[in-house]
Amino acid sequence: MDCKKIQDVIFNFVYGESSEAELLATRDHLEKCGDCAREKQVIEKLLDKIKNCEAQETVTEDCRDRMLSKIKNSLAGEEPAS
Amino acid sequence: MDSTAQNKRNLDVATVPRPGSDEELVVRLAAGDAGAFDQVFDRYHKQIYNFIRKQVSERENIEDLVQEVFLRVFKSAKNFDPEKKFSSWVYKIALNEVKRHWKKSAAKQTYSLNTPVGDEGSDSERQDFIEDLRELPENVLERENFSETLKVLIDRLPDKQRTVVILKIYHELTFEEISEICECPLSTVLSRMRYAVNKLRRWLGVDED
Ligand SMILES: [Zn+2]
Repeated sequence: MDCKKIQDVIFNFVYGESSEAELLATRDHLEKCGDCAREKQVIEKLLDKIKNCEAQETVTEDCRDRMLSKIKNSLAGEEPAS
Repeated sequence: MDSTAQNKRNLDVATVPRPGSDEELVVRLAAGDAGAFDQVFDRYHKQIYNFIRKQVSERENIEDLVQEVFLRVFKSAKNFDPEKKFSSWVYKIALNEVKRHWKKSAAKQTYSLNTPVGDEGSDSERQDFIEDLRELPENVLERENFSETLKVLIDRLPDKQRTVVILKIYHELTFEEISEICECPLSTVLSRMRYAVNKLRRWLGVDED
């Protein structure tokens, strides 16, 4: 694994989705290469920052009911009682 | 890619689905069980609402799009392939609905803040460079509020890269699932993620940390 190849697998690694072989090779390279290790830290920090700054918007009960009833009306309109 | 995980999933599906599991719900859904529909809707509408919210610029369209998605889920439940993951299938339907919406918006006006609809998502360094030369929305980096800034920047990503970023970072799906949802190879998903994150980094000036 070299510094260029690391770029292709770093996100797999950061998210714990590397294959067995990829995991070992990536870990091995990061232990030996300070540049890539720092790069990985920057990426992790950024991903964390992005993740933390946006909460899911809650869907109000009203909105939920409105959507569900419109869906049901439209289904009922298309398929009259069988 | 991970064949053991895939085999395990197939085995799970082959056995009788757990009551209340996605697998069981989709069987009931296909049989036209209205109760199952409510359960599916309640299990997924918040995620799908939030996924769509980040992909369209006009707020008033979100509810309509969510409705379209679940109508499709309901109507095409019989075609669902039980070898696949149900949640990915729902997201795929949502993404297709969003794409249809992008096309309509693009036809109505030259809406797109970023790349034209249908563009391969500019998976290239050259395209990244060209995009960097286009001006950032005014004062975006001077804004006090980081989440506001980020929101503007994420909106500015090419559509296909933005989709990957949202599904990965906010919906915490695996790259494998995202590749199924986006109907593209895993390597493409990973490169979209990489280009998007590199862009956000440059725009935010994160490197001088
Ligand atoms: Zn290196």
